[in-house]
Amino acid sequence: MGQVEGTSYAERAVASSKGRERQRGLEIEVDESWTRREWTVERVGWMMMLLILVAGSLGAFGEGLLSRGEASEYGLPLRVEYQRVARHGSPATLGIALGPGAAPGGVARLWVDRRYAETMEFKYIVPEPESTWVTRDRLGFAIRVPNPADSAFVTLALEADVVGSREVRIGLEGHPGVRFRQLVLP
Amino acid sequence: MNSIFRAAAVYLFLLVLFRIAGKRTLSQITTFDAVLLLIISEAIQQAMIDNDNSMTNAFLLVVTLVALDILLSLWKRRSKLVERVVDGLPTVVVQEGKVRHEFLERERIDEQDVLAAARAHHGLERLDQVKHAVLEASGQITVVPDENSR
Repeated sequence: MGQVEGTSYAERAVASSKGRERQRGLEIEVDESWTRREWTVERVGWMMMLLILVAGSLGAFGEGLLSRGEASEYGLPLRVEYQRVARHGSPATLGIALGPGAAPGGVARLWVDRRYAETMEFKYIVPEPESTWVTRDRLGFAIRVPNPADSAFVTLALEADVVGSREVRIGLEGHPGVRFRQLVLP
Repeated sequence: MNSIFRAAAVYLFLLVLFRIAGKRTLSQITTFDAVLLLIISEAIQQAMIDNDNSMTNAFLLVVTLVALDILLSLWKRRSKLVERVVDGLPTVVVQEGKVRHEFLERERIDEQDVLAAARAHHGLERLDQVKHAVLEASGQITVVPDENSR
C-alpha cells in the first residue's frame, strides 16, 4: 500500500473504519470510531460500578438500610423485622416482636408459611421453642414467654436455600398473620 | 444452581467486568495486582463451588471454564465483531513520533509507560526515539523505534 502524501499510516488507519491497514514495517488493525465507542462503554461501565457500590452499601443487595423491612398488622400483637433482600447461602435473620397478649397462657404459638420454610434452612431459634408442629401449610413453634403481659422478642436465624422472590406469611395461631415479600439473590 | 451455570455466570461476569475495566487493568502485573488477583479468585471461588467441595464439582467447574474459553476463541476466529467486542482493538498512542495525548489519557497511561516499554524492549532512552507506540488489545505497550533518531 503506498503512502498518500501528507498523511501517515496511523492517520489513515485512524480515519478509516475499514479495519486492517498496512504500512511499511507496521501492520495493525485500528478503528478510531470503535475505540471511542469502547471508551464510552467503559465510562458508562465505571458509572454503573459506582452505582452498584452505592446501592450495595445502602443495602439494595442485602445487609443495609434499604434492605431492612418491618411488617405488622393492625390489631395483631406481632411485628416482624425482616430483610427485603437476602442472599443465597447467607444468614437471613427474622426478628419477631411479640406484644402483650401474644402468648396466652405463657406460650406464643408462632407459625411460618410452610412454602417459605421449605426454601430456608433454620439454623436456630432464640429462645428455643418448647415444641414444633407441622400442618399442611404451616410450620409452627411454641415459645415460652415468662411474662405474657410484657413484650418479647424471638429471633429466627435462617439461611436462604432457594433463589427468587416470594411472599412470606408469619403469624400467631388463630390469626391470619402478617405478609411481606423477600427477594433472595443468587 | 447447577455448577455448570455457576461457572458460566462467573466466566461471563469476569469477562464483562475486565472488559469494562479497560485494557491496562492487570495487564502489567505489579506485586499489588498479583495480590488483588488472588483476592478476586478467593472471593469468586466460594460462589462457584457453593459448599460442594467434591472432586466432581471441581472437575465440572474447570471443564466448564476451559470449554467456554475454547468456544469463545473459536467464535472470535469466525467473527471479527466478536473478537472486537471481547478483546478490543489496539490503540496507536504514538504515531510517527507524535504523542497522542488524548489517547494516552483515555487509556489511562502516560508517557512514562511508553518510555518504560521502549526501555524494556528496545533500550531506548528518549521519547523522540519512538516512531510508533501501540497499546495492544492485551494491554501491553509495544514500541517501534525510529531508526533515524538512534
